[in-house]
Amino acid sequence: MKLELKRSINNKTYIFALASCVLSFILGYILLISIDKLETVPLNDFWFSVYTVYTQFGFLIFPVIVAFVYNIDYREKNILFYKTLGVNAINYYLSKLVVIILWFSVGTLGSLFITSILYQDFSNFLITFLHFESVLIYIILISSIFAFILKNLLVAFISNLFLWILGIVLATTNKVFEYLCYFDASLIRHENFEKFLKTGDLSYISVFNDWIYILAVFVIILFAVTISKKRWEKNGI
Amino acid sequence: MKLINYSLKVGNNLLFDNVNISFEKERINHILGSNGVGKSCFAKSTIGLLKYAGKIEGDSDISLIGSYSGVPQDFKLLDIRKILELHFNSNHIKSLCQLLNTSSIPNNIPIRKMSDGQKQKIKLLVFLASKPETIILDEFTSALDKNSSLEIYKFLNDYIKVKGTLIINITHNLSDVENMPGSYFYISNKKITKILDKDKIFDLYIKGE
Repeated sequence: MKLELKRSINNKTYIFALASCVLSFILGYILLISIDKLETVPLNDFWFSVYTVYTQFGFLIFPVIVAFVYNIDYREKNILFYKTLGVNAINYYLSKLVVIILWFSVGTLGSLFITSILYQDFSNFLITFLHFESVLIYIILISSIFAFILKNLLVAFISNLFLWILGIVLATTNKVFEYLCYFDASLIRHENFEKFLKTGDLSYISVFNDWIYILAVFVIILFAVTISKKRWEKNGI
Repeated sequence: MKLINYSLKVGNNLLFDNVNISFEKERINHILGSNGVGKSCFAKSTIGLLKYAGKIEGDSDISLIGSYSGVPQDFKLLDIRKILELHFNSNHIKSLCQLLNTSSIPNNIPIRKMSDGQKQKIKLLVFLASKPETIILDEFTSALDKNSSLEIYKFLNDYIKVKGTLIINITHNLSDVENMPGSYFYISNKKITKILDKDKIFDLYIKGE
């Protein structure tokens, strides 16, 4: 974990992670000004716009950095280095995952905090952060498993996009498939978050369900990592 | 290390067929052979990356150092030393640094900006940190200039005297054989044959069979 933290600082990954969060916030603001033609931007509208950027553009922005973090070791053939230090596939996957989540969370939390200070409004801060964080962790989990299993950076990125788009398409045919694109803007969860931000009515939101979903995805992904130990070695040796 | 009825097949290609041979401890065992005879595959099989038939005795503690054993390029020498001292015996790391003369390597530049010779020294530092019983070097000096190679030769000759490990050196570089005395092996016709005379292995390698 300490090793990965040091690497993320040395190779400037943290700057890219922080910058992508800040850019998402800027994009959220620009969309309100340019598309919705708002002259004054209320905080809750701004946050909802950024939330839409996270759910709609997140799969295009964040996985690039996630894929890079894993792929660099395959490109540099670093897996024997980790094995020499006694790091196994699961430790390797998890320590990178924690560091990635950490930097993106710092970026998201910092951006929310700064906007709260600018608007001097912290009323929905925690709930909004938990919503942003659940989307972020979901995207990181999905993109990290593709990056871990697939040696080719481009293939990992495309697979990730493919799953996301497939999920959206399938969700239109059957509600069961909504689990493949749980946070997508076309689903009720997204609409409910907007209603919550407008009314402050907590009955619209389901933070607990969101985090149970994240936990379930994490368990499935951990299983995938466990059965991909040999693949990890082959990818990076 | 001893290979007993060792066979190795990669895809449909049988690279080794029923090989029985021993490599000597406290010596550098040079392995030469043409391209494609399976030298690197043999190396990878010793650490379980490729499945083989038969038995390899003494394969419990092997450090494989080749083009496929990289060290994260974003680290600096100082980072590497700290990590190694945290995981392994710090006195051993210090003695390795002395033997490798790492003081000549700048502490604060990332590995990716180092010369090939410096990168190879860092690799040796990392992969010998655990004091492995067996070291397999795969084309280790192929990208090095003469001076860097000579430094590595000196290190390996000293290391084997001090630590008494078994080193297998898979190489195309006859300068390795010339500068590091040891035993000689030649791979051909799916077998590994011990060659008793240095001149004979030079002949075999240069003129072919």
